[in-house]
Amino acid sequence: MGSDLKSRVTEIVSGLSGSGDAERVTAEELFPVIYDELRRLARGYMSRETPGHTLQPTALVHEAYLKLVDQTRADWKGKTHFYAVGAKVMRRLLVDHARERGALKRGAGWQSVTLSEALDPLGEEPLDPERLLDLESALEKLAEIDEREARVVTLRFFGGLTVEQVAEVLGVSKRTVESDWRHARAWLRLRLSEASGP
Amino acid sequence: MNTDRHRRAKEIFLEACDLPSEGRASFLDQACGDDTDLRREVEGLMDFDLSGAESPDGQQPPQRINGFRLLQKVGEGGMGEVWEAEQERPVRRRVAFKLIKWGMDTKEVLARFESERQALALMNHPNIAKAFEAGSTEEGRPYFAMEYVRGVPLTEYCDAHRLDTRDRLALFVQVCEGVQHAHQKGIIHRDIKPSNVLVAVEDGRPVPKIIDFGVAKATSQRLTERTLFTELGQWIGTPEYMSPEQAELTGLDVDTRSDVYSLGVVLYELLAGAQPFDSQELRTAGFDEMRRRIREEEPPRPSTRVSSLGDASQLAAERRRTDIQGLAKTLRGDLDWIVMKALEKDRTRRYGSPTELAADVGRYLRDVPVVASPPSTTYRVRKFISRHKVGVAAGVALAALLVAGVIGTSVGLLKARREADAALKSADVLEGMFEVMDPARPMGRALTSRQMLDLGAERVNKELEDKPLVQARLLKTLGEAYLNLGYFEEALPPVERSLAIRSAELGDEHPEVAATLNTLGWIQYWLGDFRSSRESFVRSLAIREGAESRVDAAIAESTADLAFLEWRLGRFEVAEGLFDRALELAESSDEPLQTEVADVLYQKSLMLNTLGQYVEARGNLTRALEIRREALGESHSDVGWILHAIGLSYMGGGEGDTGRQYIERSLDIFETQLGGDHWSVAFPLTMMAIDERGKMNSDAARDLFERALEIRRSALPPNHPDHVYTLFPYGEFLLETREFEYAEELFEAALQITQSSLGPDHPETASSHLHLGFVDWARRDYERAFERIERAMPVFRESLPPRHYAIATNNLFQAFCAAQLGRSEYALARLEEMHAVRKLTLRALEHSNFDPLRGDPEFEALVAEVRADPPG
Repeated sequence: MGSDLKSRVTEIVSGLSGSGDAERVTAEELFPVIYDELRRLARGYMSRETPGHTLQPTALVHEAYLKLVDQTRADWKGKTHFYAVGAKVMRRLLVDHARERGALKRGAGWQSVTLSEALDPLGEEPLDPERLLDLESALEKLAEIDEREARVVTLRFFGGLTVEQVAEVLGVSKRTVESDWRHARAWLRLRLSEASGP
Repeated sequence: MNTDRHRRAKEIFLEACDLPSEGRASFLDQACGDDTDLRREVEGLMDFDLSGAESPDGQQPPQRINGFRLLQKVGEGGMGEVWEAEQERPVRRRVAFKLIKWGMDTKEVLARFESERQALALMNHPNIAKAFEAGSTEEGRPYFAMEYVRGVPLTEYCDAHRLDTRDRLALFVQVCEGVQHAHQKGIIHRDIKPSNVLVAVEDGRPVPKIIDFGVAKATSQRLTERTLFTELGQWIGTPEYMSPEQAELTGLDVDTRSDVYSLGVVLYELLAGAQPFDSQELRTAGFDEMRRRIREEEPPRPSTRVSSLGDASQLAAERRRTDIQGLAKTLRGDLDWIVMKALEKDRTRRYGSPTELAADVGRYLRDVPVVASPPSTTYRVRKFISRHKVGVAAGVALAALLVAGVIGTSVGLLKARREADAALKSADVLEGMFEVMDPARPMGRALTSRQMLDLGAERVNKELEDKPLVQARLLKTLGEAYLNLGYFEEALPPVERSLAIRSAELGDEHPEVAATLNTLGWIQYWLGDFRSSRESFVRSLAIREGAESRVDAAIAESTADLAFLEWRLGRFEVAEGLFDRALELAESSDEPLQTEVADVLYQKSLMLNTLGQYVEARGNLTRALEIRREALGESHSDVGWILHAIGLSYMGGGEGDTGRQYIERSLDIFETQLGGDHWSVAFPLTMMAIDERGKMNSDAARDLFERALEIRRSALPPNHPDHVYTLFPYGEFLLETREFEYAEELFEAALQITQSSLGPDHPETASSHLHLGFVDWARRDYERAFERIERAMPVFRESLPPRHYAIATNNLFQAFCAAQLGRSEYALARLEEMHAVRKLTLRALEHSNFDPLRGDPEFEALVAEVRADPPG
């Protein structure tokens, strides 16, 4: 990894603050970099053939952070923003891969995903790729009717952000995040249960 | 549901959640009116609500519980809340009342506490807070009552009073004494951390008191990934202080030394002002990573840590009445070593008890040499290796198992060595050999075995012309000796000459000729000339079967050797038949031929491994292992090979951790018995590299791959097929790291080797093409990828079982490429071929790689078929 890249990423995350167009633009610059790194990391996992292997997105995001950001120069906010972008990237990556993996049915790769908080939309098991895709389509529906709530879910599930961090990223109160979170989980579990039939 | 209705349902849901359960129904009646859809949505949400589960209705504990009067809450943690309380009967006293949170199995908690109750009652030590009783509230929440300690956590106390290092150590020694007392009563704490060590002031001096004895055990549930994840934010058992064996989470094997480890962490923190592992990182790293760190990662020494913390170090130093340099200097040496000894991953290397730890701290305080010592270089090297040993979640690479060849062996060489054992066992034997020829000139001891052999060869050739049979025997032995040392080129001429002499002297059909042919066959094998090798084995077998007095052992040997070659040539069915015959011969012989049985079982298992029949392979290997251990002892390199093969079977079958342990044991044996540069070592190294690669330890994987590659390069002839054992997985690794050029270079080398030594129709040659196709694929050059993969297909189809993974993968890749190249018909043919053997899934067909096919009636028909009849 070039140290140039590392210092650029560090610069970007340190400069992100508040919310607004500037943030959006810089986050977009960050997206492909994180995407590449996460894909590389995830591939390492996915190349395993261990049946029942479980992928932990938040651990990957964390690892990407350690690789891409100079921790001596990034503060809490920088880390939070990195994770926020990382969560989005992770979601995309997992969905892409779940689709591919479906294609390679018995192929190599992770068999399931353990999201950072207990989602349990499927009973007590980690999500397998197909259920992850179900979750994704439910999330897309949620985003149509309540975008902020869907963002809360993305940040928590795929990035492992704490309530405080989510509040910071979205510029809302902790209380709001907690309400959104509670409702979103119930809502997703309900939708998924409907999808999988009585 | 539109946005407004969604909002409305959400509001009602959230409001209802805040209500006590009995009030909810009437609230919903009122809020939803006769909007049944809305009502159903809200009720659905409530059914699937997770957050409310932990504390129903947010109940406050009552003021009085079973004779305890709760006075004030003094703490709250993940496990529950702690109250200062007054016990009213049987004695009136102040107690700490720990109310465990909802969600634990009360009966189980109490039963576990009960099991230790007597021992707890026996504890009587000034540094231990007494446990009084455990019980449950009316609602069924477990509670513990214990001696109330008016104090603050250990680290807090030390910092607040700015205790210097010596004062801190003095307090720490007392903590150790308390823990030791408990251990003597048979109690392990399991959750020692600064907040469980409170410092009270008695008679004007600080006295540390350990609280919560018995609690951790009683409340420890089987920690699974899930419970950990749900509770990571409010973790009960504290990962920072958790010993490696606790992090295993098997829960079976935690003893007093686990407390020693936790004491080590506390000491670390007392001294350096930071925990060995950064708490934030540990907790955000994810469950497996967290456990891996605890079990494998060496924390920095306290002195190093102090020098690297920046502002935090400044503060830590000030709190210890010194500066950073001063603190680092104090810690460097003895204290570093003491802490690191307590924190050893391997508990047998830790202090055996808290007393021993305290005693070493005492030695430091008295300025006498401590028992702990800096790790020596060899120890560090061992540790480096062991770091890679522990708890590895092994994975076998995508294409690594595609084809027969990747699972390696050294069978021929082993046999050759065993035969040459007499000549090799010691210098004496070699000397003896030469003394036959010239008793007047004993050999100098300083010669290497290679030099001795060269000298011997020269003289055998020159001086024994008049004794052809003796010469032939010695020539064969020499050849076997060269072979064993890895000098394949040098091994060939003496054995060829021996064969010629024996044929001329004894006739072509003599058993001695057959034996020489066998040796010759293995040399040819190791030179990569499989075809000549097979010919030699076939001739040897024919002679032995045609002999007047048939020797079962000899026939079994030749049959197994030939089977092995057939396998390596990709003819699995022929090979299997021959193996079974060899086994039958060895087993049914009048005399038990245990060695042969073990050999055949071993060789056959290698083939089974490559065919994915891991369980059967393991059954054979276990039997072979028993036989060889019995005959050769634990650490013989032949035992190592069996362990290696068992490891492969586990790794192939997905049990990476177990597999890795076997692989490492084989490495250990090879390195000790044969030396670190020996070609054997390359086998386990490669498997470990594959394992590290799966664990995403890129650096470790690269190092191991390079080492394996290097060893093979220097030990094997350039065209030996064994090179591909490293070339394939290493190249795959390089594809992942996107080093296409290097990957291509390795695969090209593999292709060249396999083509020349195995021929164009061998599965490994095909695999070389396939691998080169992966490179093209990664570069999005579908045209070339397609061509490469197409070359591999006929060979796979010819030599592998139809359901073999390689065939499926090949089909799919071909279909992808063809679709991308607009060759729909071809793509469809591949898909249908695959579908006929392994059912396709809808998701496979929905892959974006197949987008070019959409709208094609045949493709849509296939989709429809899969949709109508999805794979089970």
